[in-house]
Amino acid sequence: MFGLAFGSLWNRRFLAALTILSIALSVALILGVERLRNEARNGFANSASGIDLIVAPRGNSVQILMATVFGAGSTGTGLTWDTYQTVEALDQVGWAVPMQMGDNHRGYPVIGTERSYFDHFRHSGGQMLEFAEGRPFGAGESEEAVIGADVAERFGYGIGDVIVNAHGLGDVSFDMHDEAPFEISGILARTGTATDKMVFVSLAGFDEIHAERTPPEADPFAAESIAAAPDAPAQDVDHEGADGHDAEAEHGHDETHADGEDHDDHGHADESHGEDDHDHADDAHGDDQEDPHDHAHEPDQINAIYVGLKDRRAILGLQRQLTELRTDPVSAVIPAVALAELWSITGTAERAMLVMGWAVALAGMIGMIVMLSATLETRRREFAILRSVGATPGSITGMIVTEAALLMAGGILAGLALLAAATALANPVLSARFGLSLPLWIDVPQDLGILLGLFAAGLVAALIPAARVYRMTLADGLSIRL
Amino acid sequence: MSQTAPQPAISASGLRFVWPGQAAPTLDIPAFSLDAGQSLFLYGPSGCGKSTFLAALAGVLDPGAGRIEIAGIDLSSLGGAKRDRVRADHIGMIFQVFNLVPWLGARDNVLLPCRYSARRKASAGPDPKASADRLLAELGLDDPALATAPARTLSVGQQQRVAAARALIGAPEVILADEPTSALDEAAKVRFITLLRAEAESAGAALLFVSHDRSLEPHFDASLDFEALNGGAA
Repeated sequence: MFGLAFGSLWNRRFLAALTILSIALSVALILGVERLRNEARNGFANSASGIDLIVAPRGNSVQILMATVFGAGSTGTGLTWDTYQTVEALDQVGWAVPMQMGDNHRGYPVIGTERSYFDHFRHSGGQMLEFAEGRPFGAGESEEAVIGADVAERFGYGIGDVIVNAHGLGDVSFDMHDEAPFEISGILARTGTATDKMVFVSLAGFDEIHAERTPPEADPFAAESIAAAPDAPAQDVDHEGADGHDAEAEHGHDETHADGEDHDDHGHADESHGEDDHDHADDAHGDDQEDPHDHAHEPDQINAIYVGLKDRRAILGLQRQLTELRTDPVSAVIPAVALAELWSITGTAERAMLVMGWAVALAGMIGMIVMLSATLETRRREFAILRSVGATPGSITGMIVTEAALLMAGGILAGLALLAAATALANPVLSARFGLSLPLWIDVPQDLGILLGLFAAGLVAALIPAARVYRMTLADGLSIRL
Repeated sequence: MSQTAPQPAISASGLRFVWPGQAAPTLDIPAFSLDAGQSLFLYGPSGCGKSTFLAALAGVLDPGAGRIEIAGIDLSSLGGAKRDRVRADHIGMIFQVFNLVPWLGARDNVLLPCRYSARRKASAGPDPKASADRLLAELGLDDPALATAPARTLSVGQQQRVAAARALIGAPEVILADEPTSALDEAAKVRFITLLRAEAESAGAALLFVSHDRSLEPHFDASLDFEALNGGAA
């Protein structure tokens, strides 16, 4: 029966090929969308697994997440060093790492941070960053950089190479910071996350990029710092700015929260400052970190603070407390929550794509039914011949179902091949743009479920022409009507 | 079941069949029988019920009343699927035209009964393909290119000979032929019947040959007027 079904399809191979193609398209589309969605979600979730809170200038949480963890877009103005110190001093905070963003190296985001970033950052469900080669940038030095695996691979960089950064986030920049070259001190092992596409320098190094020039108007935080005190040393500016903010915040705070409890809290936080510092120093000592906690360089402005908690149960309380911070108006973003928000935005598009995929699948199956049904009339002769040599109506019906099964199987295989080809073509772009790398073949049970579902649906659909064949062969018997 | 038994290859009695919506029965055959190894020419005008009779013998049609035995098996007691099995195992059929699955090669067409009947396949010998080729050669189709060419590329005469080979393969007890020569020219007709008779005889099969063309009558052991047989026909 299999051979006959195959032969019969081969006899109509043009139509069969078209049918298979439409099924293949739907398979590729459905699996592709599903795969893209899963990979995107995994990739994004993996990129931010170690961070409990991201503190950034008040703004949209999705935007903050994108700008910080994924280096796409920018946060608001900036945070003062005071804010960082305040956050770091909070009782619940286990660690806090300052982050500076907004520059790029040949299109890849440059991040200014501290050495402790490499100790605290986690990806892909709690894995530490590891160095494929070299070591973190020196604590006090400003001319060293650590690069992600993709950056190293793309440009063929090795330890000791000197790179030059550009200002801004665009791929093409006319504003090259030739005066602030960096020597690569370390290359991170591949993580499969956004980290692979980043260049890390020290806070001092990051500021160095901007040190000897007049930044363009377009640069928000640099412009602000210039406006505040063009000639003053960094720390003085910082202090002034922080004070101003403080006063403002205090004012608003007093107005809205007249009860004493908040004040107590604040006092408590102040009290714990010293303790916290002490703890940290101890910790750092144990970690044999060469430069434990005195920040070698205190920048004017930072863009965000990554925060890890001592006890993650305190996260909501801390988040609330941070939004009432007196130094700067900040948002404290829980990465997982921001991701959920992001998915709720992209979810509509995903659903639209999936619906489209299933609609194509439906069209493919209707095409198959049309093809099988349309040829039934002309095949009555064939069925009568088969009956005359002993085929039962059941076995002829079975032949039609077998044909449908062959078409579906062919469509599914062709769809997988199509998807593999499309993935192979798209992977370089996806990888460069979004840090996603899709698997070429089925790798998850979920895919298998979808494929089996499609196959079963195809067989069910084939019952329509099959039922017609059954009645037809019973009625026709051996008479050949043409 | 055994064809060495004295019982006829085909026997029918008290056969009555009425097409739904018709008053008079199309078939009303009190008794009919054909012995193994015999050939019978059954003639009658078109539309007299010959094809209906063949369909009943082939087990495609279930006559409400009467008894049909093929190679000793009582069809009337069997259900549809079992009658299909009896046909596959014991009957070879040849039609007027369009006997072949057009996209299958000649040899594969000949082998079709072996797909549906283990018995026919077993009777076709250890290598059914060789048996098919031998039958085709005996019927004058020994060009190896013909064996694999799709059936639709063959001439009508060649197609009918392939159909004959298919009816004969696996040595069924009964060959039913329904006007198989009507699309052939005079010379081809005689050649075809001669070949078919010889093959059926050497296989020990009963050949029931139905036609309206009485000029073919002398080529058979016996002949019978269907209208005389079918007493109830209007």
